[in-house]
Amino acid sequence: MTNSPGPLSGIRVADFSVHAAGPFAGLMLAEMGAQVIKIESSARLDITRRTHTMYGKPPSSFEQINANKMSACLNLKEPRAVELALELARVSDLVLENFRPGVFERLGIGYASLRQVKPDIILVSLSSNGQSGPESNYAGYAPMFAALGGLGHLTGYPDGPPVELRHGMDHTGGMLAAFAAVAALCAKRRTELGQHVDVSVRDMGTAFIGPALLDYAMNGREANRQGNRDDTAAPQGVYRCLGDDAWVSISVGSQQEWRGLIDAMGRPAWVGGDRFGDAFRRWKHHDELDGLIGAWTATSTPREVTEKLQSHGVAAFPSLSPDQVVSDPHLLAREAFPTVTHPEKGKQRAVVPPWRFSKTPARIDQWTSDLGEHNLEVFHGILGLAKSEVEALEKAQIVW
Amino acid sequence: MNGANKATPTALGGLRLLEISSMVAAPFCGKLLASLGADVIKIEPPKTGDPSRRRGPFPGDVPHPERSGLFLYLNTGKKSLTLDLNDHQGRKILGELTENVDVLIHDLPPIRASEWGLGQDQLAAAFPDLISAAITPYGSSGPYSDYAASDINVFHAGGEGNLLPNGLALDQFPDRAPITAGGMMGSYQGGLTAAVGITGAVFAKWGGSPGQSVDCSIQEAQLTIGYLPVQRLESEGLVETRFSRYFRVGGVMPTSDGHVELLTLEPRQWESLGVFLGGPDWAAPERFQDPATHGAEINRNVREWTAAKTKDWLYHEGQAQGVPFAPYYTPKEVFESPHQRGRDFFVPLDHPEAGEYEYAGLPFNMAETPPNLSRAPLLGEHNSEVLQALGYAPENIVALARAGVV
Repeated sequence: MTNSPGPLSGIRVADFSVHAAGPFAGLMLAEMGAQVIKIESSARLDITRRTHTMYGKPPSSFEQINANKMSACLNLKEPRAVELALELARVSDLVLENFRPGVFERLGIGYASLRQVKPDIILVSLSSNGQSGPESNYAGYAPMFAALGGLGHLTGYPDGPPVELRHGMDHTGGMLAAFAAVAALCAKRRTELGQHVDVSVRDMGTAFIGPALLDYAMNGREANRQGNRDDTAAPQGVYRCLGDDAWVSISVGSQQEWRGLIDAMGRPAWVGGDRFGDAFRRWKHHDELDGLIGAWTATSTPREVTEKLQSHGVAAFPSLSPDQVVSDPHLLAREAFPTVTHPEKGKQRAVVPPWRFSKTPARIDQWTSDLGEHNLEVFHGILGLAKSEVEALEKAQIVW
Repeated sequence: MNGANKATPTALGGLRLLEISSMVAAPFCGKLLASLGADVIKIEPPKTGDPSRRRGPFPGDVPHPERSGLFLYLNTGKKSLTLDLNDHQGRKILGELTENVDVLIHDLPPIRASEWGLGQDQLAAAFPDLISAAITPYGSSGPYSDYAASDINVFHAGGEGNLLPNGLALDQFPDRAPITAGGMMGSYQGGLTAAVGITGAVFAKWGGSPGQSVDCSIQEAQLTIGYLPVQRLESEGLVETRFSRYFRVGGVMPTSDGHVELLTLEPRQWESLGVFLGGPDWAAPERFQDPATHGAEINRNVREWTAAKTKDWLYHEGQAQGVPFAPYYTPKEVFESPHQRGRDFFVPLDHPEAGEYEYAGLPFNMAETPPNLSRAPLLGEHNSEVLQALGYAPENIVALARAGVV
């Protein structure tokens, strides 16, 4: 079983994407067993290959995102490199790119050109604003997608500014592109049609707040950010516990859970009367209730509060910091951090693929390749160029 | 972008899917699959239905199980069958339905799933060709797999909650609790991630693989999406906190009418920003190269400057001059966005009980097999259709309804 191929085994992806969102889509496809060839170039190093002004030295920290992929170089400023890109597309099922709309066409690798060399090619274009519309050419990074899409406005303390959503936004966009990519592969398997797929991360930010937009459409009301609170569940919040920057999340959605909470708290005297008798009244007195719950959680660790509340059927969990994530007993029991061997650094832990397939397992098993590590394998092995020609192209800074 | 007529082929046309689901994560997964043409039957408890039917937003704030915006949005394109799975007859019908579908999705805690015969191994034994997927907060195995959880708990269990907020909000409120992303984002992430895996299993099956189970933990979906702090810890020994994770230059900036995001990640962008600001000494290019020293002063000055401008002016003028600004749009501003309107992003859907509203559309388009949205079902709207297709006579259906099974 464990050596069985993944669900996308046999699929080849030419991945021209850089930065975070596109490469994350490629990672998801690679984890599901597709052969993903990352096309990159010394002429335009991906952020994962260079020292960055915001994040500093080159980025062991960015490694997982290009795991499981082969690396082949093409300097797309060179006409011969563009020819080779099209040759590679001819033997691929799917091409992934996240240039600004129009750039891929200008390079000579747009959907029309790809279709000429392979009529049933799937091209997945991932962008900030989508391939059409008046702002399609605008630059965008993760927090900007969330800001434009409306999700940013809904994140933060009610009396404070909106909050940046960062790599998670990029990577969720990549997850969406992976979904659209697999959907297009299904379509091709059924209909034999290739196609151009347009994925907009800004639109995703909007699709994630669909109910808030319906509230506006229905009632003309503008939802606002509300910290950790919920529209109906009360109390709900993140409460300080014993320890340094230690917090637990608690959510009480029903009367039964409310009884569980007060039982767990030892039926304190303030519960008497009908002040907190139903969710509406608890919402009304939420600040006061938060103070009372916070005083109770402050004397125990997040784990202790969690175990106590869970034993009373109340939803609670520690707010895990990164070091607590990697030592979480549940995640460890589920083997959520498999070891991947890095050629120089030795063994490193990675985050497990997010699906446990019983018959076609996904896996992360090969650390990020060096730049151009698979030039020979790709251009000689897959495209059939003579080894001497690949070497000549490397010298000419075309395979570069 | 979401328009498709019946003659247009779809990516998952012909795929039959059962969904036992509530609230956000699994319903969002089913909504995505339905948009690709899958025939999705959602099973809801008789009388009450999906709990999301009891949450708003409601038109005029009047609660009504057929008018919940949350339900209407997350269940587009599905059929609704009411079935009491606590009843043995209900579970018998579920078995007959399962026999006739390609995919079964549920979001039940493992204990409940086993009680109802929906455990991974039980389904694999009874329905070897079936693709079954459990979309649960902590996955189908492990010590916390039966933990009660809401969106907020899982978001903080995945690691991202502990790292929010950062930047301006944290500067203002350093002592407050870490927060959750708005709109139950974590549940959407969980549903989307599960949809990738399920579609992958369908692709494999269409290529000759057997049926199988897919265990989708929402915590692990968030961990995958938020892998970066784990990697920084593993590679560099650095424990990220919300206090360490902020943009030294840029971030959230106040405007006269709200806030904008400013991100100058490339040298050409901060050079353009200096020009856009009118070339003050404090925004000279070399100062951006040392954000640790100058970042705070640059941000202070930029914030003072943006505070007198509108977000749309900064957005359009900034982008025209190569400076990546983006406005924090409110729901109204999103709803009226010329860009998304220009892409036909919003889709009008009429519903017999709720009326017609424009809904947020799908965030992807497929040129040859366009995804499509159609309205959410009434509670039990398809009981007769689904049961008759299973061979139940009308009088039997009436009897089942009287017994409260459907």
